[in-house]
Amino acid sequence: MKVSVRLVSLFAKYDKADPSGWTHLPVGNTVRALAECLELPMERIKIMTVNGKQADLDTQIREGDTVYFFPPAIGGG
Amino acid sequence: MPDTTRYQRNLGTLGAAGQQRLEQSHVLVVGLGGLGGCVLEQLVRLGVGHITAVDPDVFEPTNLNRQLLSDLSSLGISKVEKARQRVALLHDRIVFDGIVGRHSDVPQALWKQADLVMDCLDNIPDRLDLARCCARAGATLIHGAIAGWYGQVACVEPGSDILERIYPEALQDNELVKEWGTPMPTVMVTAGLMVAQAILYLCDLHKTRAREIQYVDLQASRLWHLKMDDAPQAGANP
Repeated sequence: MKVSVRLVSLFAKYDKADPSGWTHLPVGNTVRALAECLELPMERIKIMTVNGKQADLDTQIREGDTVYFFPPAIGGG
Repeated sequence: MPDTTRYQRNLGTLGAAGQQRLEQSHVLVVGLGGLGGCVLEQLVRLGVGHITAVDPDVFEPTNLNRQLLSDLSSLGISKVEKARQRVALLHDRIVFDGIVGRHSDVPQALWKQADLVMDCLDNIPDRLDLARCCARAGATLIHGAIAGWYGQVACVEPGSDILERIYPEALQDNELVKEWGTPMPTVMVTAGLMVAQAILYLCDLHKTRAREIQYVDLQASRLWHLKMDDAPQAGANP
């Protein structure tokens, strides 16, 4: 399936979208499958949304969905 | 100096009642580094009447790129002492208490006395422990964190698990902060978002943004508000 993925800030380097902006997920229908397809650092993934709603790695995704991944910020000192 | 003069440019935004609330408020600032220095500066200029600041460190050269309280003459000087000096330069009536130490050195009574706590720390374990201290005392916490061009702010009410939601348990953070960097623009914008939430909370100008995370990406020029619901059911597709 193809989905629209928004990799925010520090995650942007993992982008695999085609020129039209779609990310192709060859296998699986969960956020976890998408994250693994993107080779995201799984130990850093906690905050994500599907179509604007809070989600988790087990959330199912469908063709055309919009998925956001927000990395954790740590610094401040 | 009459308050009507000092706060003339606050009143249009805060109102006289809001300004008075700030003067009667006690805010605990945990950390006086990048975020903490900018947060302190704003709280003083806004007129928060009582500020307690906690930090164990002295200034070092790597602080100069972002820590508002640092300058060439402050290297080797206690951050709490520099904060005390800065407050005295800016205001003649704010009560400032400094604790040279970590948040675990804050007296138990003070957690309940403070009207609000500001998380200006720089690592995950301390942030989570700070949130637990606040929860035990029934204190509301304004959390802020940065990474490169990216900032993150949340209002953590007692009992909220929002920080546990944000930070993966297995994440080792020691090198990530250096890898991502902490530049001044992100520090100032994130500190601004933190203090805006703090002031709105203290002045009761809007309902607390409980269970909501603000994210800012200065490189993309974007700001997001994420409402955190109860944890979704596994397999759900909202």
